[in-house]
Amino acid sequence: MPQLLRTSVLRSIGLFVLLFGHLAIAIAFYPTFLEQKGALLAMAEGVSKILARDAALAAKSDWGYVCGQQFFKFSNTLGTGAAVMFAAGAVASDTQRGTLELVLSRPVSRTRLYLERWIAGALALAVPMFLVSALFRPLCDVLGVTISVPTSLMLEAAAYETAFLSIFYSVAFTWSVFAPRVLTIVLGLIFGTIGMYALYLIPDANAWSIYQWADVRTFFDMQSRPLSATQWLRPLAISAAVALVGWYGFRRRAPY
Amino acid sequence: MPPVDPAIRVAGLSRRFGRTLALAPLDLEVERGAVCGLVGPNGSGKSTLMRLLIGLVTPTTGTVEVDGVRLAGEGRAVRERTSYAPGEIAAFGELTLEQQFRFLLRGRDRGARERAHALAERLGLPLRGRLRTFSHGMKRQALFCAALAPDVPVLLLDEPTAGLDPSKRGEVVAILREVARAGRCVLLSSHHFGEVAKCCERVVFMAKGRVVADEVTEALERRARRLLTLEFGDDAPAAALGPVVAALGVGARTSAGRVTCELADDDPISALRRLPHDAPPPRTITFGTHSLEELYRDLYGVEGL
Repeated sequence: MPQLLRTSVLRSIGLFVLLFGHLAIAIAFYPTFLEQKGALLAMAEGVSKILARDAALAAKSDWGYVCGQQFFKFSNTLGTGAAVMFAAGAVASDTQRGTLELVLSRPVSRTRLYLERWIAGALALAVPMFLVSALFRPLCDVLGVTISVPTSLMLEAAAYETAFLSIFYSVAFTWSVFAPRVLTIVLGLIFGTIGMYALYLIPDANAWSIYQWADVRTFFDMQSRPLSATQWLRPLAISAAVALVGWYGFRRRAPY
Repeated sequence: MPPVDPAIRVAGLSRRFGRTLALAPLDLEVERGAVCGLVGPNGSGKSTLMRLLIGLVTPTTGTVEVDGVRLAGEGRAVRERTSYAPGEIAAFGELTLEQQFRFLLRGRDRGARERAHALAERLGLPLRGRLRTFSHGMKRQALFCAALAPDVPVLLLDEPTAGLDPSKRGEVVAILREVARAGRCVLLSSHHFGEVAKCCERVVFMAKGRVVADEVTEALERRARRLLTLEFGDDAPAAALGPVVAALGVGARTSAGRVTCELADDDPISALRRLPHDAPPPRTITFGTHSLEELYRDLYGVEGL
């Protein structure tokens, strides 16, 4: 456990630094964004319909800007990478270096072994998301930039972002149970998710991208009305189902 | 006679990997406090048996019971009573030996780490050394120390001396003899008959997934001493050796110009007198100096030891 905890804390710190750093840059850039938003909107208009729509939402209000910069752009992309990286080695790293038998021959139940690894990685992903969102207002104060977004809204968005990213986390974790090499999982999922993200930006094809569930509009709408139960349950149910498949695979690998 | 309350009890245990039969249905009991050696060439099913015993592999058929606890449904309880050193070298390269002990001995008794440290010191392993800097043999010894440290009734050691230099191998055998004296049940696999004979009172010999023989070491050594081998050379006609085999009686076998027979007593002269007068003269006659490896090679035709 201390080893798992240490890895989890280090990952968490790494992700926190990146998310916090980006948030600080985004806040500091906000006055410039307001000055140049006309030009930015025109540029987005020329690139794609989806991008133009998202840019318009981002330019609509302070919250729209935060949704676009911190959640849709940065948390979605970096978070996906982090989710994949944190989960890919959960079991596959032991398979790869031949230590899985050592791990499995200890007097620890299979359920506990699987759950503690799943939870450690999930916390490394979730804690920085919440922490950075909680620090949004103090950061604005320190940087002297006025952005009127309540902390509760930031935390709600962080919770949804975490639920959304848990899909990638569970897929990587489950794949880790079956795959013998960590790199295969990382490359496979990183390329796959880059493809998905790119697909979101293609008009008429974006409905096929999973990132439509965590686009600027989804986050933007949180300001006016809470997310529906379906919106919350959809990523959580997929994540849980995939994690169960992983659990089944793990039990097949370690039957007793 | 099987032990009344064995530490390990296996009934009809088998494992198939696709079309390959890794372990044929096996019944085996190892008594408490016994040190039992599993010997056999590569692919004979020794490691598969070990993995089945600790629940790392699902059996195709059969049951496993360790210290009175059935593995099916009680895997954790079995692992609490068992300690295992895998045959394949594995180490958490980024950890120090001390950290690896802490990780591997999680859930074990309080004194386990101290015992592991003491064993490591005895074998000259640096506790603060990173495992990625360890040689193959040092990693093997590290696994051996971690497996021996917990206070459990059953130890499963898969080739604990493989890849060690002769002095370290001797030290490991000495430690195993101490473990045997302490009354723990040890199932030890090895390619080296000599080592097994030094520390095991019983030897189970395996080949191609089957148990070929299961005997007390002393009896085996006695059998080896009674092995008579007549070397006729590769060019000896098989037809000429037939009467020799027949004359030596039940159990005699011929292979590559060699006739081998396990005698019922220590008198090779009377056996030689029974040979037909027209039989070709043997080039060499060997009696009383066979090793256990030779006993198995000659009696069971198993190579690879």
